[in-house]
Amino acid sequence: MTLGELKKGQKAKVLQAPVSQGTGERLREFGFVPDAILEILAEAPFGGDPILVMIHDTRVAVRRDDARGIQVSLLQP
Amino acid sequence: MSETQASLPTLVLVGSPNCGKTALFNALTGLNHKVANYPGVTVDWAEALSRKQFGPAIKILDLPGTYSLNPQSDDELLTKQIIQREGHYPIQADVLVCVADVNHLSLHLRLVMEVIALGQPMVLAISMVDQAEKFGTMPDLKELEQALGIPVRAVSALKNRGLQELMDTIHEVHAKSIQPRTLSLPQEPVGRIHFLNNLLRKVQPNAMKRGSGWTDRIDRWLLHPWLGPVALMLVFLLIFQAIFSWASLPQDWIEGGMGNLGVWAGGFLPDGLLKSLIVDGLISGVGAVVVFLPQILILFFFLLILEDSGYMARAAFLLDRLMRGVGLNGRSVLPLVSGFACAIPSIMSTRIMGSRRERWVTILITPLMTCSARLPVYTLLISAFIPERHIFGFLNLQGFVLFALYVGGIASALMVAWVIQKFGWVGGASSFVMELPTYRWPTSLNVIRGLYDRGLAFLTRAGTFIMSVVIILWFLSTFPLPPDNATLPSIHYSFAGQMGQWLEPIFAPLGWNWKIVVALIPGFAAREVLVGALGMVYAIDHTIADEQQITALSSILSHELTLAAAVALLVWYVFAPQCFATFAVMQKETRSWRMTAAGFFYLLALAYMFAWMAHGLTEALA
Repeated sequence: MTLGELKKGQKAKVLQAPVSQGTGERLREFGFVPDAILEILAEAPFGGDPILVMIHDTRVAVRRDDARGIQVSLLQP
Repeated sequence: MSETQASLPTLVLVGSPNCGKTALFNALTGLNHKVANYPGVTVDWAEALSRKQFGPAIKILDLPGTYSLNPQSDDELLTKQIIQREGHYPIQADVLVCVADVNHLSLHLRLVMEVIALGQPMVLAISMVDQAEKFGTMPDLKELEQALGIPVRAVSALKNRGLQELMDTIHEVHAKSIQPRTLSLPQEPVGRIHFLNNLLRKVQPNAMKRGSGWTDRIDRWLLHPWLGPVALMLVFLLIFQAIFSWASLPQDWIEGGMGNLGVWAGGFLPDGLLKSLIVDGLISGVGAVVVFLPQILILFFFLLILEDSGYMARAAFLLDRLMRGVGLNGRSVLPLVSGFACAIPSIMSTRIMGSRRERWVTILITPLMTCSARLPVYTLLISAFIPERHIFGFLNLQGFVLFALYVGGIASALMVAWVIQKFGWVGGASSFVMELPTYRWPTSLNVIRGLYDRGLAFLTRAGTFIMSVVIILWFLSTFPLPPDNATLPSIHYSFAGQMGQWLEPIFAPLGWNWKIVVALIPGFAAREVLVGALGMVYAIDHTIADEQQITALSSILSHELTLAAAVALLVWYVFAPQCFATFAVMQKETRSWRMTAAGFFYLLALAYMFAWMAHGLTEALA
């Protein structure tokens, strides 16, 4: 599954880093690389998009479309 | 810059956004800085000498924050070019000082590792350690130094701690040209992240217990699906309220002061052209602009606090979905909100936007946000034509019209963005990735410095650009001089009067006579000048008080113009491409004449079209 499908409160582990230039690069710099643990802190109003992701010590707001390039596996709560 | 300053060693501050770099800069330099701005390049950075108390003077530069040396936006590109000594900037960095927030070492040290790889003399400053000490999350500095191979110092700009030690270290690194011992640091991004995570587990084992839990607690309310937007609306309402009510008192002072200055100067200058230039031209023309200083400062006061505290990023998060609907993203929110004060700083603030497409569209629609220069024009026309009564029993009709003009500006800005997206006129993809920083108390020094910069920039503009335009306008409306037996006000015989009569047929469908057209011409230099220009055209007595002049003017206008023509004029002001400075900045920021021309002509077309429609509609209804 991808980061773009997660709901508020879910935790996951990154399997595959985003590959695209630009946005993908920025996401890798924010720490979206294999084995990183992340948690969805919030979903924006008006449709739950973008989402707010906690990764390492960083809160990153990202659109679900941009988050679909990141493969994750859900961690059981 | 003097010879002695040019030979001083230069220290460049480098760090990620929100790392506390600017607070450190302010603490090291005080307020004696200047914003450097080199002609022809879209750059600026702050530059200052270190405070005397820290020992021998050293030049300090504060560059835009960046997450990596792999730039995604124009301001990040500048930082990369300067520290890698690319491009043609008059800067030679002797020592690089990387700044990393102690609470975000995992993110901020990634940039530090990239900088280490450059092999230049450098120091790492760990910032905001006052919080870390409180929460017991201080990293082991000795171990960090060991692992990274560079000197590491802990500082707190807020509490003024560790600054002397940092400066001493900088002097030592510079004197001995100490380079990083980059022996075994991984070079590719994923390796860096894993290296840092392992390192931080060792040197900062308590990091996860940090005190940012309260950021999550605040976000639970401020990012709540429906309380969040409500809070955002309240914040914007508060700002508007402040701009329009708090500013009126200082504005009265400025107007009074300028009036007195005119009377004082008029008192000893002999009658004639010089007096006319100084009193009617310079003092009243520049005064008409300076009067907006309080509104601009109040708006920026709030914007600086919202930015410094971390709330602006939340506003971008909350509004991204709406902005996406018209092909923009959450980052457009800050420039568009600044547009309510003035389009110029607002266009400059689009530099932080990553995507060129979204940046350009934001620049194109920014002039539609109702800037404070339109306000005096709106006020004059509304008081002359809109009856002071209530609709639906409680709404003040005049206030409602003013509100409608603001909403009209916002709505048309969003519609234009939507149309540009619909027809794909500006190419490029849309995305939104943004860090939401930990909430933080804004520091007073940051806010004061920010206000000082913006106020100074505004006054410089008033003192240079607007002053030269005012002189040209004075010339056009004074020469040729009226004949000796003239019966009409002198403007009738001037170049401006002739231009107005020549342009009259073009604007006749909007219901305007040549006098209105004459007054519109200076409005292209600065919108608010319309009020003064109308006063000149209708030869309002300058010696009476400002308020009486406005009252006299509005009673003349209500006879001169039909209601339909006045509504057309209001609508014209919502759209018209006025204030040449906006387009100068547009050209400078986009470096595209095509873009600037497109911006000018689409606004002109919309202004004429909607003013014509408003004229027809009002006539039909009335």
